[in-house]
Amino acid sequence: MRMKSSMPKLMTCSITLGLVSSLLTVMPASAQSNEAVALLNKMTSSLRHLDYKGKLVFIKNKQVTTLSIEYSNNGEFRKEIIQPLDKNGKAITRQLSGFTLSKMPKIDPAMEKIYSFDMGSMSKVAGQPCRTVIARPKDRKRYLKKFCIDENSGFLYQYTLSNQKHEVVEQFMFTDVVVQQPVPVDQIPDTAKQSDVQVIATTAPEVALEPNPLASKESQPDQYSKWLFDPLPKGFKVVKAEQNISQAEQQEGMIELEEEKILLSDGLSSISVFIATPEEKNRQPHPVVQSGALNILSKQKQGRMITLVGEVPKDTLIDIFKCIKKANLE
Amino acid sequence: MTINKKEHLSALLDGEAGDFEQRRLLDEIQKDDEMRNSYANYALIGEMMRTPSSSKANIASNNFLDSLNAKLEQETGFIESSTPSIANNDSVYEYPNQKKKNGRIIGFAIAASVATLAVVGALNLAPMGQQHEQTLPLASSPIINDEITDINTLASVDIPAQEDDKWQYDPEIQAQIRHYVNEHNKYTSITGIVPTIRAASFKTGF
Repeated sequence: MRMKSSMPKLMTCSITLGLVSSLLTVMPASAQSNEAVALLNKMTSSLRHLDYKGKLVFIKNKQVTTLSIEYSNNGEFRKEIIQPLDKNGKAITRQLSGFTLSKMPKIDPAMEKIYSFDMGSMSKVAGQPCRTVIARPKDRKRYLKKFCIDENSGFLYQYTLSNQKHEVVEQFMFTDVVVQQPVPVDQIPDTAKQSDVQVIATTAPEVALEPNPLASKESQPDQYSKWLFDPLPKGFKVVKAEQNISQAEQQEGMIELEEEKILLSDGLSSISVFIATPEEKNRQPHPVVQSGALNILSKQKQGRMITLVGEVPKDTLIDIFKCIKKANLE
Repeated sequence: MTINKKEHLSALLDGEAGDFEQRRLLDEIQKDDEMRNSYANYALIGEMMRTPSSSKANIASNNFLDSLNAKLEQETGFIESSTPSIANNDSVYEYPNQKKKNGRIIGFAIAASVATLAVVGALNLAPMGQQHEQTLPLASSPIINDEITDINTLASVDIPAQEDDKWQYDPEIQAQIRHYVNEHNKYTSITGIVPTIRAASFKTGF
């Protein structure tokens, strides 16, 4: 009898112990994940605020390119100059206006359904200590991303994209960099300060999970599309959709060329979908082109030339091509 | 830093290092200050030798050669590293005639360098239009992302050989791809600078 009565107690104890130990194991992992997400978000905002100048190595298609980079921010304008050092390329210059932080991608908790975020070990890049953060995809639709970030400033020293075979498809790494102090808060315009508040907030920007074909141009100008995805690969959302209409001279006379552009993103990877009226000279399907992490697919569907460009595996582009279709607007 | 390491760095810059070697070297560059400095210096030397747009390097002038020589002198062992001199490397067996061969190789390397500089100088003296006959202008396109107010066009993208030859030779298709890649790169990315890095690297080969 004694044996019988002690059995349930033992079972209860062992279950409790099991639960406690599993909680102890799970909690640090979850805390680690939160830390990783926080550091990635810090990196996203700091890359806009910090001024920096340095040299970096960029590797794609097994080719190494050395680039010099200069990024400055005077509170009103941000300027980015990137110059290839080892070839005869001209510098790429981007001038960006203001602190448009509201448009910056942020990592939200929903992304943990498609990526697991891990804090890695400390490393040293360009003589500076940085923390490794890994975004590991939970499916085969995207690349594994590895970052090395300065925990204090949030500066990104190294970035690596790897495919399912653990091969590096794209990587950059600073070899020499000088990071300057961020712009003082009192020098940031009022409008920018409002945007800053949005970054601190953890809520994701309000975007429709799927384009709504019935939405009018007036009510949702950024989401209006004549096309929809049925369904999009898990985690991808329509971020922006817009149309351009132009005139072109063809054999049959002047025709109206309509181009629609839809931007998809899973928060870390983005895909641009261009839907255009196929021009007479450009009606042949194109093979998939790969350049580092970037893949490009172009093929006709429902009388339109559809081109997909994105830093995702080519199979993901094929999946999206298959699921895109004209919305029934009638 | 050993001569071997410098040879490997040189191979890395020339894109001749294998996958494993590339990873190993990049790991070492991260950890080794001296190696990182040498790498940065080699990149600078490469820039001076290859950039036609730089006014000083445009013509292989005496000043250019002097500054290059001065830079090479500062870099002790660079001349050795660019030639297969292995006298100080214990791990490599030296053949009896190696020193004589090394002397010949150094002589040949100097002659080849002079010839290369002459060709570079001649190319730089040629009109720009002749040098860039194959480069294709990118059709101007409306800026979709209103955050970006200016971005240079990707004027010299080389599309690689594909199964379909049309890709390789049709300038309209090439221009169209560049247009799409350019448009895609305009969007904000979590990594901030990566789209611009990609855009810059497209200029040096697709």
